[in-house]
Amino acid sequence: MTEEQSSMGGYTPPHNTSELSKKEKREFRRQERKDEQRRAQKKGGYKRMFMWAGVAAVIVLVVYGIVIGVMKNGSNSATPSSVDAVSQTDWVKGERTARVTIIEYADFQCPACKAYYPVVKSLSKEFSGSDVAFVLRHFPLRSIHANAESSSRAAEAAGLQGKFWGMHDLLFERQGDWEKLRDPKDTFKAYAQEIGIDVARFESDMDSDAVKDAVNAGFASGISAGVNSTPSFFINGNYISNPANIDEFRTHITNALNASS
Amino acid sequence: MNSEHTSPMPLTLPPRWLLILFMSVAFIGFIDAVYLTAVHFLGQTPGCSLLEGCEEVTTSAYATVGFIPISLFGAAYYLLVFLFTLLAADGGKRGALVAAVMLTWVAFAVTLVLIFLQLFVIKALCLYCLISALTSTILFVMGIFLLHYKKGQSVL
Repeated sequence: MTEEQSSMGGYTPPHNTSELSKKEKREFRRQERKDEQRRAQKKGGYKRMFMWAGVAAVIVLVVYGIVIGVMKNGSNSATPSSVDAVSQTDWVKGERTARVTIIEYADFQCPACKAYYPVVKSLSKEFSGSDVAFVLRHFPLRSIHANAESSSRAAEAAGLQGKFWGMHDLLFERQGDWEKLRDPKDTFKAYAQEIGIDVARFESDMDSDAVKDAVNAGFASGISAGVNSTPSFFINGNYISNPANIDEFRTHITNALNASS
Repeated sequence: MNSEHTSPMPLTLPPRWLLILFMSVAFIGFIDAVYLTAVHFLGQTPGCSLLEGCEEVTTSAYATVGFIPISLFGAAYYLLVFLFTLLAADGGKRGALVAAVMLTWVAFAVTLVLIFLQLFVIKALCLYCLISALTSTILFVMGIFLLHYKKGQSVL
């Protein structure tokens, strides 16, 4: 069998097609097309197999790349490094001379800050004020929270009458009541009354330059420390990524206490 | 001589470049949805960011169905649209294209609901969710065009 014959898949064409009848010619052409189709299918089959394998590989690589990227970003997102020491203007729960100081940059309208509020409160009760001091600095995310600024001012204004932490607690505990209000001032005034401060003075203080400056100072301090999200916690001046739970937070504090002894 | 064998796409399907464009949009949506899913499972404990409102959206009660983030459903949807369209483009399977287009109808309806939730309930917009809304809308519009296209036109 010649090379040409073997390529026809075993079919042996006659040497001279002019000698064939019409029926035989048709059969010959039909057989030729069939062979051609078989070869094309075989070639196309490999091509398709490689294409689908390539597509699967690209999908796997893309997913892998994204997962690695997110994991890497998560570990690198601790951009803030250190922060200013506690000053006389800071709101402190505990003693300013405590061995460990935890500074929190917070936005009262931030749901995550609200989620951390009971954790921080519980830890502040667990550790003595001489060991651990908790500081809150304003970091109102004005661009995404319409009432962030006014709630920070409400806490600051209440602080001028010695009730910063009382207002702080109410703002977090009732965040859902005021976060979506067009003007939450009346609600804040009701809180002021509830914690027993002079409401008229509170209202006037909320709009005072001193209160505005205090809120701005907190925000500026956060920006200079590299804070870009809330809550952001610093232990003894060093940034920690947000603990996943109270136990992790407690471990951070205990380690800091051990290091300071 | 053998052009009928090398062109696997029947005349009833839209041109290949249009299908590739459709697949590309689906793939962009897939990348976006996989990113959101990865952030959900692997990202840091969520906080509120100075730059965007994604945390509010992705940590809201509407972001998950049970323990499964909506973005994971989105990733599966985009992947299915991509693969169905590839099947149509490669194997000339018209039914696969119809299935992909029908998926875009469902996804577009879900997109409208999610955009409504972001605008009027959560009152925060997440950039990555908006990208997904955009890709699913493009797929929906293109899908209608692709189905219409097959009725009478073909450039093959």
